[in-house]
Parts: sequence; C-alpha cells; structure tokens
Amino acid sequence: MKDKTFIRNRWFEDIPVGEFHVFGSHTFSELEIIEFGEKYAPEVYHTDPLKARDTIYKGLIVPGWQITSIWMRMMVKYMERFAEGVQDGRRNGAGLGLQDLVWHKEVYPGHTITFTHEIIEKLDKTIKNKWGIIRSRNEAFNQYNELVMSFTADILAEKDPEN
Amino acid sequence: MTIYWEDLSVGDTFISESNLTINSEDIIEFASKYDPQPYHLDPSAAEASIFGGLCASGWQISALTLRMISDRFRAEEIAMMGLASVEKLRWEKAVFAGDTLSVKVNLIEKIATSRLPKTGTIIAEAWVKNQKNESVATLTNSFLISINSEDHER
Repeated sequence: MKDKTFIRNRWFEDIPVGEFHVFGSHTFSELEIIEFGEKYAPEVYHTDPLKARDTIYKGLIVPGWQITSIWMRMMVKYMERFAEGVQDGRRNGAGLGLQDLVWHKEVYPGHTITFTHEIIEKLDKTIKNKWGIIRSRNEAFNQYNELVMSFTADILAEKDPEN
Repeated sequence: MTIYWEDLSVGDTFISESNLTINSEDIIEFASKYDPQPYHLDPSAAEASIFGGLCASGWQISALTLRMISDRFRAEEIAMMGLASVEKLRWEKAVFAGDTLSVKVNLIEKIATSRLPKTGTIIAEAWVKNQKNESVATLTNSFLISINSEDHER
C-alpha cells in the first residue's frame, strides 16, 4: 500500500494545491427534476412542465440544490474509482461548508453538465488534532461550455499521524 | 396580496411555520441518490464514522432549508423566483434521524437588480436549528424577488 498513492487514501499532506479533476458529466431528465422538486423545491418551474412555460424561465429548470447535489454524487463516484483499500471514508472527512456558490445560468431537462474540481488552498489550521482543511474551486458547465454553477468548498482531510 | 421586491425591507424576519422532522428513510433515500457515503447510508458504518451515527447529507439539509424558507415565503405571498447564490454556508452540527429542524431568516440587504428581468435580489441570513435549539447550519443567501412592473412603469 505504501508505495502506491491513491486519491482517496492520501493524507492531507499528500494532496497538492493545483490538482485538477474532471468528475464527469450528467444529463438531467425531466423526471428526476420533478422528483427532486416535489420534495425539496415545489415551485411550478421545478414540478410542472406545462405551467413552467408561463413563468419567467419558460420551462422546467433544475433546482439549484439538485445541481449541487449531483456534483456531490459525481465526486463520490469519481473518488470511489480510486478508493483502493479505503472504503470507510476514513481520510476523507466531512464538508465544513462553502463560499460563493452561484447558479449562473438555468439548466433545462436534457442539458448535460460537466463537473470540475480544483484544489486551490490548504488552510493552516488543524481541527480536533486530526483534520486539515482542503479548499477547492468547483465548477459546472453545460454542453455549450457555459458556466452554470460554481462554488468554493472546505472539506476535511486527515493529517498524517507520523508527521 | 402579492409581496414584491419593493415591499420588503432590511430587517424583515421570517420564521419557518412548521418544524420539519427528518427520518432515517429520508436520509437514506437522499444519500443513495446524491451522497452515497457510508455515514449517510448505513447505520452501523455511521456509528464508526466521524459523526457517530446515521446523519443527513449536508446537501439535503441545504435543500430542506430552502424548502422551509420558500414554504414560508409562499405563505406570505412573496413573489420569490428562486435562489441566485449562497455567499456562505457552514454546516455546524450533524443532523441525525429523528431531529426536528426550523429556520429563521433575516433580510440584511436589498439590490434592485438580478440576472433576471424585472427581478431584484434580497440577501438574507438563515439560521437552521434542531429541537435542542442547537445551530446545525448558517447560510447567507441571495433570493430573486419579482419587482412589481406596474409600479415601475408609473
């Protein structure tokens, strides 16, 4: 194990600033928008394709938090492909929060969104004697290469106890 | 009577009308679709994790917070046209199955424009609390609110 560095079992110290990942793409279906909308965002422009036409959006649009939630799934799935040996998320801690989350442009059913992730900063701070903070810039683009969402996230990563 | 952007003032405060209880089925259903990590999916794996028990995805808490706020705005007939941005969000405490959440919103700034036509922005702080009155999340949000165009054309 020691001679291989896998993305998910690296310590905080092993994660380089500037590292860039493309998590992959997701095409939103009308059905999944409505399902999410009925539970979390019951405005007509998220739940009713016909009534949505008469709104300022002129059709059904993906709820902002659903775009962000799909970012999360894309990240988990992407990291799992590299998760040799670490299945319990031990060194991959919880998210603390985020800054500057903007939904720049509407996402409509059938749009294909590509999600990217760049490590931009490692904060000089240790939480509970164990965790460091990795700051990342996250972006989502539609099929026309337009930015539809961006945010900065702070996520815990376990520090190497031997350091 | 519909409340438009111009009818709202800095200092206006809204409190969610009904408190919302989250159960383990809700947590697992959301997590299996959007955040499939052991501490959101599997109660025994969750006990061994950083959280010490099955807890909700932070993204689910964010979405539920907006749900509670928009339900309140709808009850007030505020012409809300969505959430434009979140300037800052902190998940302060894990939300476990059985927890009951409520939210308080305070309007801190008004901007007469947004990326949509005839729509302004209000910036509001939101505090999400559990049944023990502990803060589970704090957010600074920018909401899109329709501007009364009749007023505008006068």
